[in-house]
Amino acid sequence: MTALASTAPRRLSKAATASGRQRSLVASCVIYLCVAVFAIWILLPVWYLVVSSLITPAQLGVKPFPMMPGSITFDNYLSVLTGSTGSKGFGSTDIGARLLPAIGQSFFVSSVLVVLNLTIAGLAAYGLSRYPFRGSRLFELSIIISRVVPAIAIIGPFFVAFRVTGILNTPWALIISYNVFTLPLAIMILKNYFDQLPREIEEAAKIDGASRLQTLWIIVVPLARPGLVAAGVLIFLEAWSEFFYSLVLTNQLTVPPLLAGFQSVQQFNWNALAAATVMSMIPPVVLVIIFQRHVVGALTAGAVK
Amino acid sequence: MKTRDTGKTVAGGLDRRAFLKAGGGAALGALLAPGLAGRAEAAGFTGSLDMLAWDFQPDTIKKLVGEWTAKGNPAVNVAVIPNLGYSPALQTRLRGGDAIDLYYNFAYNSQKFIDQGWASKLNGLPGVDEMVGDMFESARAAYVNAAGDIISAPYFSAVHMMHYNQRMLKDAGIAAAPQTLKEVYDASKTLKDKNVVASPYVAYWVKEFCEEYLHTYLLNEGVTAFDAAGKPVFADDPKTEGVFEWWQTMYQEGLAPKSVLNDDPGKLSNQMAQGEAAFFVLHHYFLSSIRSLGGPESANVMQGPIGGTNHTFQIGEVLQLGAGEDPARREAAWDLMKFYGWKDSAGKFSVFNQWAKAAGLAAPYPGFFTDPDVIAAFPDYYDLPLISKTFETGSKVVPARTLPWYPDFQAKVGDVVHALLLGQATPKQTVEALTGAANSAQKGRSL
Repeated sequence: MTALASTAPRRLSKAATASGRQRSLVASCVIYLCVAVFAIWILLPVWYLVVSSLITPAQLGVKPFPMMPGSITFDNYLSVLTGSTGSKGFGSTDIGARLLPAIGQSFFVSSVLVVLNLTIAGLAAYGLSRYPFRGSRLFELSIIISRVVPAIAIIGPFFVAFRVTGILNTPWALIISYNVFTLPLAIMILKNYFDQLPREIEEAAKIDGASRLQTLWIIVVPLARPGLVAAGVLIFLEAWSEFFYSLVLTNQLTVPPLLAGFQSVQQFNWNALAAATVMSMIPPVVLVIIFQRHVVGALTAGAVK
Repeated sequence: MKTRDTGKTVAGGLDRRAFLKAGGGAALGALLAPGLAGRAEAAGFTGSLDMLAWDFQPDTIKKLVGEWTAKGNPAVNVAVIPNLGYSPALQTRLRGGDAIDLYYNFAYNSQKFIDQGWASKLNGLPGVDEMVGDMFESARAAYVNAAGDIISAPYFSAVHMMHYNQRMLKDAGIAAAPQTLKEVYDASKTLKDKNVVASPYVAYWVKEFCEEYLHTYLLNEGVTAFDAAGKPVFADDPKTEGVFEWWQTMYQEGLAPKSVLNDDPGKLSNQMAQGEAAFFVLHHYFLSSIRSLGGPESANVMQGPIGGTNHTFQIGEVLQLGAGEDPARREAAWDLMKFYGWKDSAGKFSVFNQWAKAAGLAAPYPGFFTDPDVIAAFPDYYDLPLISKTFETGSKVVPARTLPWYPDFQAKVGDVVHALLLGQATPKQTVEALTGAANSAQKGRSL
């Protein structure tokens, strides 16, 4: 949306299109209406969540749902942080002692994974981009395949291996296992990005006496920074929101399984869950806002030849 | 799975009054129930036990277990994971060789886990026969299989009850709370026709929970779905189709809201509290939820029996003893299990009392309902004698639910029932589909 906004027409009546022709007022209105509808479609659930976190359970049951609540309360945030989640009888009463550490653990796991994946995937993607070999396309496809294998099918061996090595219920169990789905993603994005970079610059560096690694570090990495940032953000988001590996390999060490704990056989504490979810959304949302331009740019790399 | 040491210690100190009460209780317990003197059994084990629970008040779980440890018993590493996804996570861990001494489990997984070698039978353990003897007769089949093997202990129990809005019934001229399915339909239609409430009836009809309602509604009409051997006898009962007709009609005629196929119990409780529904059938303890919401109609919501002269459905989740073979460790785990799923060494329902305080959960023991501490723990708006009577003579467990094939059947029920409710299948086709699902599950072809 920001990308769209940055190229928005200065005059509503006549807008310049990519081909240089003027867009009619009706066409502009239709486009902006579609964008608005899409934005509402995306943001409405988030708004519902934010409002739910700022009202009482009794207000939550009022119909129609108060999209602009008459009165707001921060009790849900307070109860989540202090450990008393609404009615004393229900839900996880020590969530306050666990939510912030879980956010910290999620941040640690995601950050380490970003660094690890950018290093490994960067080298792998550069190699695949610059040094193709017979069967390299098939090799690329085989990397992607690992992303479509259901987690439950491969988590058993992970569990046994981590139990033997004694790293169950530690961040390292997640950092290692998350590579199954984050590394292929990073390789795909970076390979696509490296393919767009002009090879002539690298050849010029080679003529000037730079080694392959020097060329990669001094020439390619600065040029590929947007792609690296985009891949890093996506890896972070994937790791941040992962549920099943964390559920099996740890005891609610990260945010998603902790939030799932609000739903029990006995009760579903929606308001407290909404407050905890809003709090846990802040780090990834801030990250995306900061790096959004790079993400959009990298993902559309190659769209225009 | 080991949990991290949080560094917290639980105070297990006793004041003078508690000490005297505990002492008196211990003497009484020693006289009445020799199996309760568990500390001696646990004393042979010096390590620490591992316990896995789902996320419902983990601080209370740790406090209770801490109290057990404080009495000279082994330390317990309590690991907690969410209820959502608990079963696949637990099975993955057990399959991966995780040695858990004691864990929460869904009742329908009990026999399967024993057959898989992930859990132990309790036969012959000290005090186990007294524990089973202490239960309501109606509840025993949930913990003792047809062969007489004791496969689990109670974690909590509940009965499906009718929650109804007394004021709305009065306004609509309905003299008494409905009990049979026909009475529920008639009362709902009256409330809707008189514009008292648009969609009077709510229930937790999400796919995962349809299996419980299947038994609830069948039992309401006097139909037990499976015989002791697990044969789907509901298919042969002419009343079964009528139950499905009722279920489909309630949804198709808008007597239950369209959203009810996806609504969570928190929302349903709120609808009762706000006066958007007049009837809510679910576990008895949801009355706490409705009342504590403090909505304009909360105080008008009462609880009544369901099923008329027939039965309602009794449910309960269980504690499972791990498959560890070290005798001393197993003895200690069993002692913890007795404490957590029956009585403490003083003969008190101390753990169940905590769950009663926390959420109105019950235990399948007659003594639980007559325990003064338990009576004090329940809010005044509960009719404890009614709930106790419902456990004793007004409800049934379905023994087939603990058979090893049952989880596969359970997984299919939601799809079949939703097709019925959405008008994609007739009641007759639903009977056939559920019979097919049961037979397939028993033949191991459900997947």
